[in-house]
Amino acid sequence: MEGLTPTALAAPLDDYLRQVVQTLQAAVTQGFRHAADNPSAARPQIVDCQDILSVIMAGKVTDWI
Amino acid sequence: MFADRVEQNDLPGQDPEYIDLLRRVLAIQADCEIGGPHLYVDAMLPSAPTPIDQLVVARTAAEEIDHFRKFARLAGDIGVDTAFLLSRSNQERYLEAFRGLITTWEDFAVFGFLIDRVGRYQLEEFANCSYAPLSRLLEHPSRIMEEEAGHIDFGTTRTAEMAARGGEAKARVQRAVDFWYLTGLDMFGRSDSRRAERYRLWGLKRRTNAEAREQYLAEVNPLLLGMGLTVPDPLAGRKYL
Repeated sequence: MEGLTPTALAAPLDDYLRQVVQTLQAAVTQGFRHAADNPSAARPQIVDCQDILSVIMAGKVTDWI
Repeated sequence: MFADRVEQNDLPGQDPEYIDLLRRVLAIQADCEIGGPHLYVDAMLPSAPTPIDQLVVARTAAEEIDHFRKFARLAGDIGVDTAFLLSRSNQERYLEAFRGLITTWEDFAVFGFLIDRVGRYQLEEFANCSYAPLSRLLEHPSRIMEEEAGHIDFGTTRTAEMAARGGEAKARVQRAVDFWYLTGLDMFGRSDSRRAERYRLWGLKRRTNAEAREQYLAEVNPLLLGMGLTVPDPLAGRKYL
């Protein structure tokens, strides 16, 4: 059935988002580690998260892949 | 009741209605997963009360994006393009719960407490469902289910904390509960939904909309009362009964 053929974006979008999520989660983990001693020390990681998430929220898939 | 276990390779031989319903439910679930971050990231990531809370917002968004990725992959593998869901406006989301914006910490907390909990009910439907790749995503132990449980726990804890402060803080969180409680009940859909019955017939869901909603009420109402909050009228202002 032709309609059941995988879409062209299925694999590359999966790969891209997997990398984004891993990067985000690494920033969050590092942020929590810094915040354990001094909450304001997590500021750089929070800014990193904002930067990454702003790209995803913009949703310009053609720019990503 | 359809009791087969369908793998992706089996789909070409399946009934067209089964395929249509499967494609639809995967697209809707992907939309709901990415709809959450679109509700709260812009306003809450910069304004959450503490740096720890900001990191929780970022972690929650990361997990929901990952859930979107997983459902989008399942959908994409059977020809359903969901990439457009990443850029569609909130007003275009399938479910009304995702069509606005979350701009207060009370709403963020109550969203986790009440709406992510509705999401858990939806995801539970897929565990042991007839489409094996979808079922495997939600069967125990499931990373998605564990992460959603974390969102619910965080929202529940923060809601209880704000309610316990009393005064204006409690009044604000009650207002958020009044809104999201009804929104959550509507998310289960109409009790007499014909499509919901077809999902059940094809083994893509187990509970009726009414059964799931009743179980949710039995779970949530005691929690609200335990926090000293008022349980809203479950019928007032509802759109889908």
